[in-house]
Amino acid sequence: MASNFKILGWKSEGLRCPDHNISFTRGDSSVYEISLIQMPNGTGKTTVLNLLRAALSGSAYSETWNASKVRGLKKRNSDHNVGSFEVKLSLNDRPVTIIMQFDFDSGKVIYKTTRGEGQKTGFDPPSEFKRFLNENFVNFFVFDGELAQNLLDSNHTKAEKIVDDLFQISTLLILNNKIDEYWQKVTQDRTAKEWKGFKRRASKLTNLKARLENLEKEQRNLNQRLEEETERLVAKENIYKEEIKKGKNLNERHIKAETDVKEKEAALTDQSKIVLDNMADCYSLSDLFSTALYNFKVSLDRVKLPESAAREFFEELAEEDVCVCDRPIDENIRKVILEKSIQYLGSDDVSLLNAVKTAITEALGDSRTEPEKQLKAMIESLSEASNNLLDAKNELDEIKIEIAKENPDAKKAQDEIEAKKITIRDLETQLERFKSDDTSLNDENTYGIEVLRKRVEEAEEKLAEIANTMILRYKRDRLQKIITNAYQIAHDNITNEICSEANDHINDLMPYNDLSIDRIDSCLVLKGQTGGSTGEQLSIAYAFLSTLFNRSEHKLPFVVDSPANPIDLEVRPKIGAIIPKLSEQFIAFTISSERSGFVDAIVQQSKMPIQFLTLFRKGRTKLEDKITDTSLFNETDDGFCILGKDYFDDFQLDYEE
Amino acid sequence: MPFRLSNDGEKWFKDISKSSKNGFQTDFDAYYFCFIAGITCGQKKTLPVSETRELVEYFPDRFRTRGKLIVSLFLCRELIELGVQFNEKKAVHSAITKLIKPESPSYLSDEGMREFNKYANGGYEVLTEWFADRPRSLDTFLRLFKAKLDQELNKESNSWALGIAV
Repeated sequence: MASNFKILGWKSEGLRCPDHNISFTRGDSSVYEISLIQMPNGTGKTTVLNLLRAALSGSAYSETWNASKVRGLKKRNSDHNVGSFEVKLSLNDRPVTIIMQFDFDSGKVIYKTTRGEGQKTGFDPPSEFKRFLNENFVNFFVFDGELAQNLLDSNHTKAEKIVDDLFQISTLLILNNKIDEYWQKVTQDRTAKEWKGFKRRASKLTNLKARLENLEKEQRNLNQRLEEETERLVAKENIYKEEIKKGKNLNERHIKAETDVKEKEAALTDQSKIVLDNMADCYSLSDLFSTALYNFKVSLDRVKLPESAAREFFEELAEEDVCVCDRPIDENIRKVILEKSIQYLGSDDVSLLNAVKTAITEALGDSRTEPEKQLKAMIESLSEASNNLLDAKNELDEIKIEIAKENPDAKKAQDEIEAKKITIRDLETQLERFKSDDTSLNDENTYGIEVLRKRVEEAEEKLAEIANTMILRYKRDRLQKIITNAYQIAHDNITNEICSEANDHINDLMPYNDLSIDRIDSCLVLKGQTGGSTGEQLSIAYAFLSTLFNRSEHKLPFVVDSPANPIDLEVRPKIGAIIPKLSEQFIAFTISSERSGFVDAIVQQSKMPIQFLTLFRKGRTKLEDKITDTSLFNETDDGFCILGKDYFDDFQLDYEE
Repeated sequence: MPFRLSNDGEKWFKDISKSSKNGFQTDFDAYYFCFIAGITCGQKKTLPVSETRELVEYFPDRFRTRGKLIVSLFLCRELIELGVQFNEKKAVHSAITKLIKPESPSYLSDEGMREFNKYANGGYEVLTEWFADRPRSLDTFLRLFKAKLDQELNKESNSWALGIAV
């Protein structure tokens, strides 16, 4: 979007230059295309120019503006400890005012910016103008001879950046930065962003999958073997039963012993459940526990916990105007009631505590030792049941030994059964490993199938994440390469064209000086030499700037100090002809001796009205006496500002004494 | 806030857990024995949530009607830990309001539940000291648990004997 930037005027008070208030607007609210401000040297031209630069760039917040520099701007012999410099601008036809408020006591400057949404403290121009309103750029349109020299010095200027900003190709570099920012944001939580990370994760996943596959295969094989061995065990047990049946007497005893074992096992299980259920009564576990519970209940009774009244009673009472005793409740009493109410339990707490006390009473009955006695008796029964089972098992084992002695085939089957049982136990133990949920070991030593499956899932997710990252990284690199190429091509083309056109202007201005711009780097690099005379440098600068500003769609003001002073008299008319074309608003500070050749050329070239202003310090009676038309001058405490060409032309003073 | 059983405790009870033949009826049985061992020795342990498993927020099954008594025993243990006599009204009042929440299904406040779980975590460590190996059958575990509990409570240094005087 094209930018339209105009300076509507400025006002200075309490600073080293004479107080003044200049407006560049015409009656129809547009600005003069050319404004010439005549100020004798020593009136504070440099001060005004520096203030203008600071107001337009916010540079007074930089380190170079220290307290001593700020205090140095105070008006001489003034009692006022404050000053201000105010610039009124039109930015894309919207008014913006920037004020610098000077506090000479503290040596500080505060900016105030007024635009659409009101006044804000600080330097706050509209964002679309920020690329012009910075120290580097402002120096190109608030210009002086020193800056013309700097334009040819790589230590001072950033000519390339001006070209980039003015033609907005720096947006491409900003775009590259934004791509980097996006990349950082998207990948900030990702632990791996490189190819080696991708390979590492891919390798981990492959190894994990291989291990899981091996273990699952092993598990399947073991399960199959377990199934087969169990079938074989059943077959052997059937053979054994058949063999037992051959000895009638022993068979009957065996059946009886087996039944007995089963009955005793059932009895033990039942008794275990009874004991388990009884042990759930915590007071049965020990008389110390039941005594503690009993004492707890008794103590609560003694200290009257819970109280007969609950906290809510007092909270409700505090809301009343009259107490239950008919005495009035004022604010103090209300406060005390509420404070004390915290000492009482809530009604829910009261109910629970009462229920607890009832539960203790019901559980313990009359004796605190009886519950444990009963539990001990049950545990005795449990021990008895356990012993009974042991006896029954021993009896069964003895019968088996007898059967084995009597029947070798039964013994063989019995031995095989025992061997199968050992094999099955061994297989079960091996299979148990696969159920492990231990996550503390590395992949190679982990056997838990579920643990490994989870790790495979995680590894797959991580690999997918880095794969996405790599794709994004490839896209980033491609896009940045395209943008960088586009920037370089645009930059080279524009700077080459500007060089070529500027050289045409230089040739026009100084056909016999053999000067031309070779290229635009950080500064303007001249062909075959490093500089020229002051006048030559200024001419080169104007030629460059006129090309630059004319080619750009952005309309910026151009403010110059002594535009023609160092330039040879024969070149001045040519410069005078160029300058009005530099911008749609040209403001120049001149001195009377500079008028010759230069001002005449400007007047001749310009088709629009020119604004003439003459600014000087009070106290020069001869000059003041010459002011005839009082409607054309502004008087401040220490200065005069006279409008009009007649006074401008008649003014003859180069230096303030 | 739920009761939480330590992962190690759960593994330790594996052979007599609810999934085994003739074992516990619920996982809370295992938690209960851990808790009792913890309050017997006054042993608390804080564990990261990741090292525990959430059980239930209430007293389940056989413990449903016994919840109030278990919570009372927990309160007694906490008062003993604080060196508070049961008849010190202010301290008892303070402990009750801090650890109890009547509307909670466990009757315990969040802080109460945290402390309760710490006893269960500490209790698992007590069990591993009491038992040479993890239990393989319920009847043996129950008998040995009672024997070890008595042994512990009969120690002169055990604070249950010292701290329950009225």
